[in-house]
Amino acid sequence: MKRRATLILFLLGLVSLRPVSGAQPAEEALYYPITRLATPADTLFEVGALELLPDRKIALSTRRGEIWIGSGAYEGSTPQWSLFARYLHEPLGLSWKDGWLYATQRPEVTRMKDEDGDGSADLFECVSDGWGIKGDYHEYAFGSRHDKEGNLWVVLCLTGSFTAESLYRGWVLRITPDGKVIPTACGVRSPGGIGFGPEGEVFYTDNQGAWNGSSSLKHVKVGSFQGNPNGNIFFPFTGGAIGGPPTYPTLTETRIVSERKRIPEFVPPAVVLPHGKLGHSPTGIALIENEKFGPFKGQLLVGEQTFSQVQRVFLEEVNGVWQGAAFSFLNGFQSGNIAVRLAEDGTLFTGGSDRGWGARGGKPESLERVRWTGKVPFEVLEMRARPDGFQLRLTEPVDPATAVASSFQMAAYTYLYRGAYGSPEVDRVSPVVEVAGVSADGLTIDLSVQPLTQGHVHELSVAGLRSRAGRAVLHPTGYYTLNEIPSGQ
Amino acid sequence: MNRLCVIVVVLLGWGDRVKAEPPEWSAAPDALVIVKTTEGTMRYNLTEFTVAPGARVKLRVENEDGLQHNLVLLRSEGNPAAGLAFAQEIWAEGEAALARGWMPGDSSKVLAASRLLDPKVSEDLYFVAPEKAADYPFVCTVPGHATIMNGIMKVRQAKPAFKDLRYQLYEGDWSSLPDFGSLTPLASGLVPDGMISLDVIGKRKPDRFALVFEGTLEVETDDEYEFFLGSDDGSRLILDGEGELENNGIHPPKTVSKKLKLTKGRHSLRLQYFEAAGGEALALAAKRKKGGLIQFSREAPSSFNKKDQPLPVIALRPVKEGEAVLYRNFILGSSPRGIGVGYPGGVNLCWDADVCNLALLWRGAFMDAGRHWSGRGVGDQPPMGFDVAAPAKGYPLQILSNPEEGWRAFSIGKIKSEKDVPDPQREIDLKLPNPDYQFLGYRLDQHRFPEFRFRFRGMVVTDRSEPEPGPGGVEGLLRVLTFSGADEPRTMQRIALVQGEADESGFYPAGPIAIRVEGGQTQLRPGEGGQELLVAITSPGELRIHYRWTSVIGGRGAAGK
Repeated sequence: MKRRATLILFLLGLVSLRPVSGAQPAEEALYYPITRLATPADTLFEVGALELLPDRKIALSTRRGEIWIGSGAYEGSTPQWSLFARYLHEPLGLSWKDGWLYATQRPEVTRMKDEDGDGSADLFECVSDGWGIKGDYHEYAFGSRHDKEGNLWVVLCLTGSFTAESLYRGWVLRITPDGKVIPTACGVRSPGGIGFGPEGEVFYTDNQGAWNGSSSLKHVKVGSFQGNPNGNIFFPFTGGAIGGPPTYPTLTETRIVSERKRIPEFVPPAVVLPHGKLGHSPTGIALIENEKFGPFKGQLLVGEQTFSQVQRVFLEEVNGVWQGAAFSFLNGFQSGNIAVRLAEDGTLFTGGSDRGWGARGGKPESLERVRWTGKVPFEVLEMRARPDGFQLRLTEPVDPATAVASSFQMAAYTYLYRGAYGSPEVDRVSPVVEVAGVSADGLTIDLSVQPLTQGHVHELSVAGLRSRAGRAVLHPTGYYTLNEIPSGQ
Repeated sequence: MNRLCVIVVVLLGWGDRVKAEPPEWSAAPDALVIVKTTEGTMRYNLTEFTVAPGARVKLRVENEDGLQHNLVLLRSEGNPAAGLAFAQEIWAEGEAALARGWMPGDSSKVLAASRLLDPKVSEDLYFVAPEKAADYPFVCTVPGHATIMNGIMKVRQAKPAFKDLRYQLYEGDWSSLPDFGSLTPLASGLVPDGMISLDVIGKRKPDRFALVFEGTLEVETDDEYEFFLGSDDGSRLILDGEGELENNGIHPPKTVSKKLKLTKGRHSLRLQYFEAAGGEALALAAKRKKGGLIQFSREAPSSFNKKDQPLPVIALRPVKEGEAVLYRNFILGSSPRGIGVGYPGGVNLCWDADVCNLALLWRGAFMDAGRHWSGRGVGDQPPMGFDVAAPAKGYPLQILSNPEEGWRAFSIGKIKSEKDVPDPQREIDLKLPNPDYQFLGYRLDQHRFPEFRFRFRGMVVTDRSEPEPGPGGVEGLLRVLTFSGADEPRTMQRIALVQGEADESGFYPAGPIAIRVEGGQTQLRPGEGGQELLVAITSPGELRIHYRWTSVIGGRGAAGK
């Protein structure tokens, strides 16, 4: 009883502390306001996955295994909810295809249908259960939506922080329309979401820990090794789907840039989300496919659980390797974002939970909607690698008087590549930034940077930059992961 | 490495925080407190501990979780919310705080703090408790954690438990408590602070020894006391010459408890303990019906802490009367692909989709989801009801090439797995997909009763159950299996491991239940743990299996409520 009293006091404390967390910064709300959506009162809406259905309905799964369908979620703040299915095992992927709702849950990919038309699913078909689970909470399975060939991509967390003890833990599998399993990539540690990039390639987020110095967004090239060797023990069961196991990483502390030379299958993280700076635990991925969400077409939105955020990622392919820059984008969600889903009309839905990991937002559940107001924030739209520096593209013309070296600051660093948990930032470099040119329209700035260091995160602050209207850049720090330095032409 | 830590501490300027035990404490702090982060729950095991004003405290922080955590104990008084506010200020600093490993920038506010501890790493902190009797918050400052990971250190004047506590130390290699009467102590003496502690062994290696503590317990009022005895390895509590609590044998830290009525006055207390090798711990405390905890040892028996943070009970019930309720999660007694089904009338089963077979049957309450819907959902959850039966674990069907061929219940491979080594040596069992079987899913009827489907070689099998009460209303279940597609000669289903022949109504005894099979030729043959009850399968075909509990227990339908 006394315990309960303490808990109540503690909750009261939380309420009074609200301003510290959970509120969207006012300036972000001018462009991309967050609207909280009401959820059914008698259930805990710990959102694990979101999918869009015909007739402007949305489907979402909860960590407790329910699937709800909402109508009216695009307007107002009180959608109508109906319970479509329940009793699933922590589903973390949803995809709607040909009248079936597919869910990736811990033990299997399931597709379900409402055959008798009463609004709730009655037929649950196992599409594939071709991976192992041991009963460890860590063994999560995240599923993508269907790709163009009709495959689902399933990314499987390791058994614990450091081991793989059931089949294909630490792997990405493709599940074909007829339920076959194609082992596709190895080297996964602890994923938080999986989705598609601008050209249909698959990316997933992986969390800081063993062999991951920082959390990052990774490109799932077929046959790739993503860096954590614990799951490579399953190669004997793959039937040669992607050849033999990659060379084992060096066990002393090395760097990814040097290990890539030893391990040809090693695809480095496309975009590092520097741990503690730009989040703590990245999750779902949504591609911005058109202009309805502002000027960021072709970029990715990445959910963030611990910091209750959404980050923005610009991607480019250099020498056949994906890389790019990450920027802070939206802050102040209610709980820890897990699922992010962007509708064709530019409506972003986010949902999540703080259970088991904690989140700044402070609420145990959340479902929120973000829509672009039509006003464009002053932001670094693109940050591209050049042979001798970076090229920035801005969302509005820059005041040329501020396009000078003193407006820019850069630090470069990387992380230890090792089996221990995480890494500090190491090998710090302080590059010198000069302005090499500003385009006539004021939208492009070429920066010369000396030196450029392959493999390093190049953290650029443009705090001194002003638009012609005198505005500062809303999120002035970009983190570019320089896996490859483009050759000069 | 230690020196490096000390340098870091000096640089950060952490007041009285010291990394090594001060020599003048002569290996005897006044209080030893162990705070653990529990795996997968985002919690400390203790949300409260008590030390005396000015006590020299050794605080061990053990990170048992798979994430990084720390523990920061504040110098100023406050409730847990003050700890949260303190952590939030650190989070708001962002990158600057990250560079300090989420340590506070202003060390003057901190009484003691661990570093950011990697998974499965611990650290000892040494500090002197404040003189003022008050509550002092502690918190994990890693972003997001403090909303749950917080607690208070209570500083309170404490009376020593004993005025005359003495100990005797013995040496020897035992696997259970020795007969102390036949042994000669290696050392003995008075314990000055009156608190039971393994520190009396001094600098001796803490393996292969035994201790006996003796003291007089002064009870102020007649009352019921619940004693908690925790130890690694074995221990025994003797009160007034009677052996009251037994925690014997070699085991990891384990706590036993017992309620005892004590009368006002003096009681002799004797505590026996032995340690073989590995970790060691000894703790004794008691709780009055009304009133706080009386601690007789410097360490606290760890199980109180678990009682302080109970999992909620979330008893699953159907949405509508007359419907079934399902639960897919980690159910004890099934593989991790178990699907629990609770039918009306208090009959339940778990169908194991890993092997396409019924794994468990039980009666009473269905399942408690509290474990899996709290924190990260660590561990297996047993059925909530009672009389759990597991008729036949593993695969249901096999083509028996000869009558003696053994039953292959699981598809297990071996694989070598070890942390971060190119050439692992540790062999583990690995469940592998069985090409003969594929789970196909299930269909729910209007009562939400599932009909499971799977493929076995060329056949498709459906498996559906419904309640079927027996004589006198005893709980029972009818399970109907249908077979279609191409069968093969000598296809057998293993129904159960039974303990004898069928009774006059055709029911075979199988633990708490009895089983009758309709629709196929049954046979018995010796198996592991009983007689294997087999039945020949043809396709198309149907098999009806009746399960019935063998005892009628009035009013026990509500057990586990």
